[in-house]
Amino acid sequence: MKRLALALLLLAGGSLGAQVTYERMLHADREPQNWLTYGGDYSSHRYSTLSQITKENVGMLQLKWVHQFRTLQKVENTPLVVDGIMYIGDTSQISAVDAVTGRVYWTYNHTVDPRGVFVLPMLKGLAISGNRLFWATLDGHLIAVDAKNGKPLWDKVVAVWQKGYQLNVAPLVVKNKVILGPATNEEGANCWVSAYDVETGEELWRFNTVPKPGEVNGDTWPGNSWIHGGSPIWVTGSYDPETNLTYWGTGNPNPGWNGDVRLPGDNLYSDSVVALDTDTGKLKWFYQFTPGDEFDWDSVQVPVLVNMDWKGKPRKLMLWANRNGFYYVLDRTTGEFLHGSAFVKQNWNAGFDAKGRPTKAKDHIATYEGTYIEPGVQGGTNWYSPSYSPRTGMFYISSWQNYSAVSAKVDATWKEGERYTGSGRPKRPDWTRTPPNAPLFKKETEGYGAVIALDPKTGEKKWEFKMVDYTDAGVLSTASDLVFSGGKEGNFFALDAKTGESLWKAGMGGTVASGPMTYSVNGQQYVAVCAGSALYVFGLPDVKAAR
Amino acid sequence: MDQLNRASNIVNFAILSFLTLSTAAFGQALPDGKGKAEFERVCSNCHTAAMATRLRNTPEGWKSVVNDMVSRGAQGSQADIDNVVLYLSTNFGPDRSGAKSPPMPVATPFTPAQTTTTIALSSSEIGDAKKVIAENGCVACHRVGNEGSYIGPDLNDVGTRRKADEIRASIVSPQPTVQPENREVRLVKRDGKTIVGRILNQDGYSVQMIDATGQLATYPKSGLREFTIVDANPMPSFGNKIAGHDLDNLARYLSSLSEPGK
Repeated sequence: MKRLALALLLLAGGSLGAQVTYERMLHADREPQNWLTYGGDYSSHRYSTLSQITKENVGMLQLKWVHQFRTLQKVENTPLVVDGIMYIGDTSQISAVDAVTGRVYWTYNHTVDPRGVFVLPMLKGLAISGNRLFWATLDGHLIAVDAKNGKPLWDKVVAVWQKGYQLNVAPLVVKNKVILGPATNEEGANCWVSAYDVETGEELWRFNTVPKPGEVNGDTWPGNSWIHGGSPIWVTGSYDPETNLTYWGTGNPNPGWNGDVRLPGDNLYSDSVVALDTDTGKLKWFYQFTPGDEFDWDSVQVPVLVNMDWKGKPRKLMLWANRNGFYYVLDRTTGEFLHGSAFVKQNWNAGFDAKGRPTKAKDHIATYEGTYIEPGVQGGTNWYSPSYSPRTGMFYISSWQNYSAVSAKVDATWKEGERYTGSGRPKRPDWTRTPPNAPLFKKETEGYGAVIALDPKTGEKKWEFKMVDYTDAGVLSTASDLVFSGGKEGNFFALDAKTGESLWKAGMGGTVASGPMTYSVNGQQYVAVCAGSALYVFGLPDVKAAR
Repeated sequence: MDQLNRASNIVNFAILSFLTLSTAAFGQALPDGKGKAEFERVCSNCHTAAMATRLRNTPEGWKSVVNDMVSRGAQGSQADIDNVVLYLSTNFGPDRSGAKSPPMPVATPFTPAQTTTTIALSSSEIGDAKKVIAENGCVACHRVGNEGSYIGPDLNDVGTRRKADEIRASIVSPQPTVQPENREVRLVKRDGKTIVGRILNQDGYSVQMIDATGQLATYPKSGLREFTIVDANPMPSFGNKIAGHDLDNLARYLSSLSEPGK
């Protein structure tokens, strides 16, 4: 009887282990075979300790299986993998598939309202808690789905698409909360970050990314401009258990390309990182990368949380390569600005003051005839996940080098259901032809895509891997000192994390616009990436008996 | 540990987990006798005691029933199984009247009022239905709320697939075969281990299934000694157990269940 009781106790403990608990996510590094959150862990390092695929054998990588999504759009999805089961999706369907064979266990469909028009119809990923998957749909639903059988547990409309919203992010689960925020289709709908109860979907807190007049920082919006201030959420935030803060990057103010109605003013909290108390949603601190932006430089990057030595003292840091072309280091407890340096050619920032506020170059304002800007509107980087390797100590980002654009404004009037951008065509004849974006015939001086490795302490470029075309791909690094990434050319490749040397590549036949991830099952490591409108999974020739 | 071992451990473990959840309630009010412990241990994995003991059968009849259960994945040594047959034969043999089992009532015809689902159920009616579900061990095979096995059809959205009178008929006179999407798959691995679940998908190389605990697993067909897809309906008639108001009320309640949140 005693033995039975012991057995029962062990079984009870074991059955809890099968659930994706907060403890498991907190220590995601202890189970590198899995990929439990969008960025791989709460710090969003997109780094894995798996090391079966090495510099020596990476050349032998072979295609294991492909999952075709039911979409003609490019796919930006990062899959989750939990104990041999992968969860993936596009904007209309999510699936559980066997991570070894790609065979589908179940699918769950959600029909996006066909009347909706969405700027970027993508699903970046799902989140999991316990046995629940969370899917933020394009048309504003947050749906909890039973990970075992694909049945919905609850379904809430958390953002009304008719008011100009869409959901695009992989939610972030911390303890009993699903945290996410909406984006606006450049329609000037004011956005927020909010937390929902994992059990019921009840909203627990909300932080508005545009304060109202009378609220703190409400005075950064002249007149009534705050009413259509935007400041959307496009990518997943990070979480720091030590400070209990969750960090989220915010997008551009509206109208994005014409600041006439909202300048002078910083237009908080657009183009910022906000640090929120995970229990209450209260703002602890913020840092604004681009005050009073007129060039769509969303701060929709994934916050990368790193503990490292800073000028002789151990410090809790946040690394951030921004769309505006600058690499930043912030103290993530206080938001203190510690470092800022350009990682691409730039012509807008004449220097930082002591508090880290940029001094805008005089002629760097939106004009009707057109303004030459470096970096261009797509930025020095964008939403693509960077990676930090604690082994090499390097910070890896996908960048647009030598990239510029001519941006022009037009008058903008807000109308419900219409885009509110203020974006026009350049009028000066010598600028009617902006530098070519297509790779054909393009010279390196006219722009190129590159994966770059930065020294996180100095922002110094350690190496650069050049492509001809630009890149929308995220970066993955591993403990065997490999870096995986891709780009618009349609190649998926592996680099030496220390030198940037090319070690392996595969032509995917479609743009790589997602963050690669890695996992293992039965002792075999796999690397997965979305390209075109499919997910591709690679591995070494079978380590054990082939399936 | 390879995938097969890992998966089969998960299945064994799942069955044991079920045991831990249900043994306490399982054996209440059972007559004592040789084989009781084995009956409790082996049979409570998947269903309530009442599901077996409301039947009456000859020793041959019980042997056939128990053997069928073994082929469905009931776990136990040969001695355990023999003792289960002995226990059931001794304590749940044919009545003196000679009848094998009480006759199954035929589903009574419906009046329109009974099929009308637009009449909302009162909270006491919902409570009654939940009680009937609990007493009859429906969650041994079906999911209701956050409870139950993942092998049988999920009842949480049964109202989107079945009308009240169809549900009523299924309880009283279950169809001999199940819908293709509810088919069971029974695998015997090379080492003799039997694995049972609901089939989700397959190709020429592998089969995907879900077990009672909701564990998803893939098995390469090359690693199997036997691979059987079963379309026989394992659901017994509950006509003797659930009748009259209880039956009407249960059917109405189940037909009201649709996808949550929709």
